Amino acid sequence: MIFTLTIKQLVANKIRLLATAFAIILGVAFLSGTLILTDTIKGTLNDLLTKADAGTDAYIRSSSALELGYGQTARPIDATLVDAIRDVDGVDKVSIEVSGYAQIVDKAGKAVGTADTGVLGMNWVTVAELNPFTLSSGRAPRGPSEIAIDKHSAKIAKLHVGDQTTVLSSGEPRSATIVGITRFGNVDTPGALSVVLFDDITAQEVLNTAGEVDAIAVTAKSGVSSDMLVARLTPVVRDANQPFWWQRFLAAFMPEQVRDQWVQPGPSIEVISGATLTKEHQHQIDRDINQFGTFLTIFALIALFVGAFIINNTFSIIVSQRTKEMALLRAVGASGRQVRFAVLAEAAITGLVASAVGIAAGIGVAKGLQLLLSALGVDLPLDTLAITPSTVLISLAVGFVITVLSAVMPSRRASKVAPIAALRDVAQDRSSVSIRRMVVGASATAIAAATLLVGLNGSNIKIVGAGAVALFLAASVLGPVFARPVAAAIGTPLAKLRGTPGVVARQNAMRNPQRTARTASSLMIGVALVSFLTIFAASIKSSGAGNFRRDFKGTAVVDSGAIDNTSGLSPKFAATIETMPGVHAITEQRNAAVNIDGSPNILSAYDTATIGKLFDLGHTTGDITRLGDDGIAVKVGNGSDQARLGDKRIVTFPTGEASFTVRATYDNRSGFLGNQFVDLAAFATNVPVKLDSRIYVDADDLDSITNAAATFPTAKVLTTEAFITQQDGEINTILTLMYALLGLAVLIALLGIANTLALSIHERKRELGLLRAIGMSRSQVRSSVRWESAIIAVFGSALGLAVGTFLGWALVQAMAKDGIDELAIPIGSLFTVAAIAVLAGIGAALLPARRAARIDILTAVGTA
Amino acid sequence: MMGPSGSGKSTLLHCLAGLDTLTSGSIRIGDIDLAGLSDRELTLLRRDRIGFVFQSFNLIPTLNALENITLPMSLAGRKPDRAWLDHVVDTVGLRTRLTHRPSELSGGQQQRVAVARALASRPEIIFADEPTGNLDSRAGAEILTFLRNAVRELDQTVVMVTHDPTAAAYADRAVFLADGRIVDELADPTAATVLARMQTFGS
Repeated sequence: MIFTLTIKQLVANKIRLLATAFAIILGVAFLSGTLILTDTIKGTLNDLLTKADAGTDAYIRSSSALELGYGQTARPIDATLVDAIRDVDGVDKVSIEVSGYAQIVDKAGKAVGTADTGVLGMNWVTVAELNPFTLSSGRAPRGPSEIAIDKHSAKIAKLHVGDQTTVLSSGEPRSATIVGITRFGNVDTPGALSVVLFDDITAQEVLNTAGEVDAIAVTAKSGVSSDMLVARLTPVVRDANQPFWWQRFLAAFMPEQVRDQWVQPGPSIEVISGATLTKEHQHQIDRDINQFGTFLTIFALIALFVGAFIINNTFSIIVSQRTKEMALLRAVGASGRQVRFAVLAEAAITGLVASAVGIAAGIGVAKGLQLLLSALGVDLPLDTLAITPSTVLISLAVGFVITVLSAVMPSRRASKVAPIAALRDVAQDRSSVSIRRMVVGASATAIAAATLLVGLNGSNIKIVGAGAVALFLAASVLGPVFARPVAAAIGTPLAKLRGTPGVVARQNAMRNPQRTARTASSLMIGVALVSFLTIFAASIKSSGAGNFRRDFKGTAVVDSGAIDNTSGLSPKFAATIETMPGVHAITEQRNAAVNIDGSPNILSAYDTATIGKLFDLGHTTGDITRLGDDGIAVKVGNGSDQARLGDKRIVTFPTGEASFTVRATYDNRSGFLGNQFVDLAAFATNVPVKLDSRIYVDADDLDSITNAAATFPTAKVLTTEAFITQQDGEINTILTLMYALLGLAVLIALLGIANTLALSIHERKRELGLLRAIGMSRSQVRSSVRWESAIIAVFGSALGLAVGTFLGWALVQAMAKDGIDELAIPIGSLFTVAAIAVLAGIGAALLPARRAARIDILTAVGTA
Repeated sequence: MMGPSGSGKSTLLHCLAGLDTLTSGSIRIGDIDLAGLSDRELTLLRRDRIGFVFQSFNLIPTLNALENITLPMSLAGRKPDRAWLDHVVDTVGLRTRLTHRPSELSGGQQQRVAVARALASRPEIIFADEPTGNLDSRAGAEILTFLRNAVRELDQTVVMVTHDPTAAAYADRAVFLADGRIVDELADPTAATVLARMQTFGS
């Protein structure tokens, strides 16, 4: 019966529950859309790669000490191994694989493709079974001056077979003729990757070193299984590996110097099956896409978190409006549990139905994002969306659990309604604030803030997240304590300015501090996150700019736009600059993702002879200019790394481990140099890729450098100020994206305001009728509702600004050691954020205000 | 139970019915002392042994007449006694209105549904709090007749609070309250005797 009652209540309350449902639908749509899109992209790419790898039965490459991204290789292997492999019984066809950085230039002299979308040079594999590329037009490249490019790049750069172009690589730019346009499986190119293909010999010269290859792919003769082939190839490959186990064994007894001479940490070559290769590729792709998915999922969860406040508020209001009904149920024999169950069941059904609708909407979201991606030039055959059972289950479960959890407190309140309330004329639209709430709220806020600070200082992102969620919850517990006085204060000028409607608005915002606070809370979260990001971004920009201006002693930065070492500037450009007259100092910068003493880190490399002339390194110990082949300079101070001269640092490169000795320390404030660096020469020993990510220059004549950069189109020559502007621009791009993603949370919050007002108006029908009866005009009624909304929005925004500023301050404090040491509070931007929130709040009140104004006086006064 | 406003009629009724809690003294329904009962036990008591008819807001608006009538039994997870239910429904004359929502019923019909609900679970006692307060005199007379019949024909005990002498005349016994105390009582009251008695308090 209770269940029948629940269903009937749901049907009767469908309008009231619409906003609740909408909050869930939007959040779940975002979540499921993200899941569907990532699954689809993963599925498509996995499919592409599986097909590309399908012909490979065995694959020989050097093993990596670190997990590598797709397309990255640890260390090249000697090409002579190919002949040994060809002789192995069961081997049918053999092909080398060479990959590295290559990029073409369009007719306007602009580089095609970017580091963000990916650029790749490869050899054209002549064995068809082993070649993932197919010719769409033209023919395969032959000889040193011929290339093939992917169809996607050909399209965007408007290049055709027969066109001349320039190829950028780690060597000198070279001119080449496009002789072929290729596709990859059933797409023009995977994602938006720009590919340049050479013949085998040219690829080795341009991308690696002549005589070296990245991998060898092998097909088996019919009747020989992939595993059999791997087994037969393994001994051949082992012979090529140095050192053998017995050499390592002997090395253990040798003095250190002798050992280093004798046992070079040579590449260890391994043979894997085609299936293993495919699995590895899929894992690499999944990892990348999952990161993207996690980023989006965080925003979906924020939206759902905001939604939780609205659900909680709606159910609280519904419960208070139904007090009489609940009491009657209790009077005729319903137990408290039955009443609680009825409310929870209502929430559960709402949650399930809304989540189901949300998933359907999520399919639309995924489709939309898919169209957006293809509009952005990402070529993926995404025509079928991957809707997995786990997506459906996760989305349903998240929507369901959030709705039910949000209704727990209201349902408890419902179960506590005394049966006698059925007989009283209960005042519904009122609440008060207890001392207990004040004490609990204040201590919860303190605990949450402490948790957050602990998490930040320990750099533990999970504790930080838990602290932030707890802080929002604590602030919402504490909110009602402030709601009445704050609403009174905000409303006071309003009452003076707007007369009666202002007075009514102020009274209404004050009468139920819990409701006002709950409504404001959802807006608070949105405003807090937006203002937090604004403050944090401003602090990064101003610290970055300040530190760079102070620490950088040169005149220009040449930036390649590279994000890792799959792209960058040819060192030839740095060499060109170095020979120019009026250049006082220059250093290249290279970076590599490595493990230092076992944990992931970034190792940078500079010309240690000149870095001290280009950057203020602060207080140094040791001699930066004499790091040598095995020395490392480490940043100290701010509690980051208490390195002492002579300490050892074990650095794990993809090519293997290397031990460095701390020969110098520095403590400059800027984060630009990184937390540790080695000399370029030492770096090159361990990292085969020879590409510069930046060049720092102290030169009198920037124009000649800029002119020289015409030959190296990926090089951007920037003055100190231009470099700062560019850095700011990158931060602004990310900030804009995050604002857009937070927009949904704010939209849900506004929906919550509109919903609360609508419910309050429903509740105050008689009162509004009475006001109208004694002479309040329709427009006055409207205005009072709008101003009530404005008061709530101001309250929510103020809370949000307070919490956001605290979060921003806390994060900047925690990141001081990483060079973000200047808290910048952009008053203007924050004011804009608050103003937009308040205006949107007033906007949200438009519809409820109209409804309030339309109330029929007689029915309103007549309804009991 | 009769008495002027503020005499404590409703408070007494609420206490008797287990809706309100006692500060002192005791109330027994059958062999059960209400004073010592927990909320849960009171709930069960109300569900199984007590029936209610209030002045207004008697019904759950989202449930139809029949569902409202059987609500206490449904809450207890019991099947209603079909024959008895039919008898009750026919007695209150709601056979044709069973699928209607409260909003589709007149005030008198709504109150009849409430009476039927109170009778349907065969409680030991029914408490009626000014059941005719919101009704016109004809509908009021109807309800009172039903309650009277329930007592006579179904052996149902009914305790009713009213300040309408005409309504009081339907009872077998009238008890008068003033300032929280029972000050008088009448057996087999009529409207005239009740009115006369009330005037003596008034003066």
